[in-house]
Amino acid sequence: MYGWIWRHIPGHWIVKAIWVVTAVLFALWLLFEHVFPWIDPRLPFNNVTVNDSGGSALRALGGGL
Amino acid sequence: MEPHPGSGSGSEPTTEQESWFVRDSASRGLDPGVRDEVGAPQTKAADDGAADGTGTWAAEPGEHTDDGADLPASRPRDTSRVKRAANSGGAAGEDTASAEQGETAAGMHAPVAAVPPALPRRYATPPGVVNATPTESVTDPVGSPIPGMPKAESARAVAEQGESAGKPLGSRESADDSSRPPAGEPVAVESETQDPRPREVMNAGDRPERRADPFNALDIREWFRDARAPRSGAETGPVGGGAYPIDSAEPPATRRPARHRSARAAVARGVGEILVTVGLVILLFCVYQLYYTNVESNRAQAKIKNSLERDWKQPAHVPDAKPAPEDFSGLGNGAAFAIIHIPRLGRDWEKPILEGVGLDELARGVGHYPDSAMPGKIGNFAVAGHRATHGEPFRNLNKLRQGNVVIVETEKNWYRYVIDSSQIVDPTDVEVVLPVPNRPGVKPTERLITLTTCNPRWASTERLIYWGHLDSVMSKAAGTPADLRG
Repeated sequence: MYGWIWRHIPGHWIVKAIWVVTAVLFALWLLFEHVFPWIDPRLPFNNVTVNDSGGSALRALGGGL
Repeated sequence: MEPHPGSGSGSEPTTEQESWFVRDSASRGLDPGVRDEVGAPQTKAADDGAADGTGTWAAEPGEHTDDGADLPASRPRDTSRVKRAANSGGAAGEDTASAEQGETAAGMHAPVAAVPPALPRRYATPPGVVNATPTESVTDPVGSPIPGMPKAESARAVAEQGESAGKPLGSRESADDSSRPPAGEPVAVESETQDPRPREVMNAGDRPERRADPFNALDIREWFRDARAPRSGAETGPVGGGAYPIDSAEPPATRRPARHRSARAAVARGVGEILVTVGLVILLFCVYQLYYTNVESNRAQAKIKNSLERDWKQPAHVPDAKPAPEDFSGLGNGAAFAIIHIPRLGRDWEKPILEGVGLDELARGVGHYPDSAMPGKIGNFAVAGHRATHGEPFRNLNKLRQGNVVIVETEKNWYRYVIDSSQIVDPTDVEVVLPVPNRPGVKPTERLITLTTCNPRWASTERLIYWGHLDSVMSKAAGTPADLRG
């Protein structure tokens, strides 16, 4: 797969390398700024509040004052 | 067996089957798998044995038409190639052609080749070097010199052919073959055909000539070359398509499965790469959680603290000022309104408190349960904070002990709480943040504080709870609390 991509990028191998590096950086940015923050609340590792569902919620109290 | 169209003259390529032969060997001269191709075999009658043996292998994209029609299906290509080798030679070829036809008529299944398949020079011997083992060297490594025939028989046949046909043997390894041209000539021939540079003539659909020696690992192009990819019409038998000697050892019968194998291998390679990529992404997620969220959160917390200190009006210093009543109404979700200090956790340990306990709020500091009381008010002032990742404000909360001081700083006052007790509870135990903890429905009379975080640190299976009560309130105009000084 990566060999196929490499072969089909046009240009000298330095040009190809620049494309690959740019693509990798773009993928990293996409992951860290959009994908991972989206995944984060859906995983149970970071829940610190007490509520009925066991996760983070705005309304943590049920009943009472 | 019908006479081959070119069997009479032998030297003129007359048919379509022959034209590829001339085209490839004359125009391009090289099959990348066989670098020492002779240029125009039909013009070198004396060397036709060597030439034919290798020249026929220049390009064979699977053409084995009428030549192979009456041959056993297992070795059609090889025999046709062999036949061409025999038939396109010169006088010697003619002899062998008749001999071949005679033997075939005698009932042998495969034509006895005038030119048994020989290894390309590059794999067999370097140019100019003569190998002194004649019989063994004419056989391909598989050990069956004549396809379709048992080894002993074929070896005998080879020996016969060697005697009767002068120098039909493709091997230049036979040092004691008197009919062999002097050593100088093949070297000269090879040197001129060793020119690896691709000719300018290219045919439609051909791939560019490969100029590099596949054994030369220093050639960076080799790193990206698929050794199985068919080259310019060169997906031939034991010599043509392979980049490595082991390919040349394959009998032709297995070449077709090689194409399927190549597709399957490509799919397997793609699946493997995808799996490795997914693994790397998961690893990157761990890096994100453990490092990147802390970086982001610390930056956000610093910004919030700076803006709070900027927005809070500094009251004039009045040493005996009474604590002013504060109104916390109108706080939107995510708004910062206080700073929490815990001297036990660090000399200058302080974190901003934001309204709300969603992930956004918890990522920027300590969150305040929206339905719980405000600092200094009757009821339970409950806050929550991350223990791992996202800035980890409550990372060392387990160090708190009874009697430790927690100071909540607001715009006007310092609220001094003292820790009373702690407990580990389930995540669903919402009673810990009730106005009267663990007493649902009871009206509060005391001013309490509750701190919650997850337990154990790297998991969220439980919650760590600390309770405290309000000890004193001090106006900001009166100065800084003693616990925070020094």
